[in-house]
Amino acid sequence: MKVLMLDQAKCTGCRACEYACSFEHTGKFNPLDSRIKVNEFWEDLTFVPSVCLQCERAYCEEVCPTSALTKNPETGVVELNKEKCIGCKQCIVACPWGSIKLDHTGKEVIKCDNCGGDPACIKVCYPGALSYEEVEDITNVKVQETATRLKEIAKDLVKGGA
Amino acid sequence: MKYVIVGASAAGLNAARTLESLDPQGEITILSAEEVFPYSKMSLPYLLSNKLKKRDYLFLPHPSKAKLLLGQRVVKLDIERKKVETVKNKTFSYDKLLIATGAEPYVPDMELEGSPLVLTVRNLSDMDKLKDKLKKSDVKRVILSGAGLVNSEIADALAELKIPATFVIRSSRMLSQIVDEEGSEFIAERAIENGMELITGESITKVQEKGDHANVFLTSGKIIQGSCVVVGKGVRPSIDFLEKTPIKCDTGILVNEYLETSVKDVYAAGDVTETKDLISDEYEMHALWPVAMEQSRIAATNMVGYSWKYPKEVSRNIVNLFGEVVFTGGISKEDAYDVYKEKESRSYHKILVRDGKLVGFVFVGDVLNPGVYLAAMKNQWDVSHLLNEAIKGALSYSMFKAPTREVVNI
Repeated sequence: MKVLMLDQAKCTGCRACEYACSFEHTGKFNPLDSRIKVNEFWEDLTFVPSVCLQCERAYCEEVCPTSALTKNPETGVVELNKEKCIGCKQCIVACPWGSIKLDHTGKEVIKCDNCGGDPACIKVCYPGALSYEEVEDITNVKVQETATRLKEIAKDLVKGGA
Repeated sequence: MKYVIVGASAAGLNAARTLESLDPQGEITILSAEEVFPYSKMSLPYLLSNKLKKRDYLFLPHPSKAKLLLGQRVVKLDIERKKVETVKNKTFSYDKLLIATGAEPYVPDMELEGSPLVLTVRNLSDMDKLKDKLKKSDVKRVILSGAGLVNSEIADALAELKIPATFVIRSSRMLSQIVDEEGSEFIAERAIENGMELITGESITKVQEKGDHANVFLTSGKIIQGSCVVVGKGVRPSIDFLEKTPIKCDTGILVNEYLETSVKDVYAAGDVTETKDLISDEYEMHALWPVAMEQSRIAATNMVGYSWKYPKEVSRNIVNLFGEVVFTGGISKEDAYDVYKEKESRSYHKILVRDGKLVGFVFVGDVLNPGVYLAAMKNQWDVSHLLNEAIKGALSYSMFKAPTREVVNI
């Protein structure tokens, strides 16, 4: 199963992903229609992309009165069936992260669908903050990254102790 | 373990699903008072407006293993013998019981109750009756007694169908239980734009059948005509069958923080319960669909034997009315603590802040991340440095988190 992976440390805040996302889904470049959002912290010059986490037992799915939201067991994506959606917005209030939201008209519910398995956002992320990877691969990378960091700390400690 | 769930709406069915996953060996029986397969009550106004594209979408997913029995309204609960008795004289014994009977519409005037032209809208059959009246009556206009959430949603659906309606409001304004005066005014303007008529400071005294329509008499003596009268004066928890039991009730069933009633092994969830409110710290009704889902999941988990504490609840509402999104939470019908307001031609924003924390808000018009507002209020995150963003409706989740660079550089 592939997931959208964010590496906040690499995000430069260019917001190309927002435009790509909007264009992929609507044919227009409107960041308000983007499923991914880059949060800007200017005082720290830090940028944090945020996008739907495709929760295992999703709040949005649970509160949907018409079962328009369902988790696809194969792709792991919490999918929105527009045909069934009545626009009651309970899902939007239920998501504490604001990952399922309203489009620019303030009427229609939109959420990340991993572009059906070929995410547009990663293709324009030149710093490499966004990637689409197998869960197992990410776990390995994370283990290695953490080990590397701990190794540096251990080295410092040894040096300090010597 | 034998579980009996009384009520098969949002809370009852979600509890069954949770029980199925946590106790696969358990024997689960759901007793529904209604004769029809469980459906989503929340979607009924959308069925009227045809926003619900197929009637089938109304029906809730069936739990996979639990036994669902229709038409079995519970009339008696025997705490001593751990049994419930239904209207069909059937008894069911339980080890753990969940009461999720929900609520019924309240018709304050007994004279109006029973008239074929006076409807309430709570059940699918009610909605079918309303649709039928609209089709048959020579007068299309619908008279709405009360301008609370339900009737406002019905009005919105009628506006969608281009059917005129008249609100007869005893108080001076619309949605007085949810929004403040300024918010009311704003919504009333939109309602009138959409062909609604508002009569305030009046009640209905009599409804007279006249051919295919109703003559409706008001306290002032005025007579108005409509296809039918829809009474939307709030709901009352369905707790009649608990009368002779020691289960502690106020308006609804009072539950502890594990959602257990005052009687051991009897739990309650959904519209029938009263739980502690985070903002007021008092027992209140939080009769909302998402609350029912949350409570039923927690109650069912505790019925299996876990101890999951149910957090204090906050009231909130999001509703589409006449093309605007109305989103409220916490203290919303009056001003209290530090009040910040922003009013523009097509939007009204208000937030209430206590010790730097959000305790109430009203948004009519655009708000970006409603879920984040609710999370901020539920978790009492500090918003004192974010007031500008908060009043603009622009709070986002990451504003509350420390910039990740600090986290990345361990």
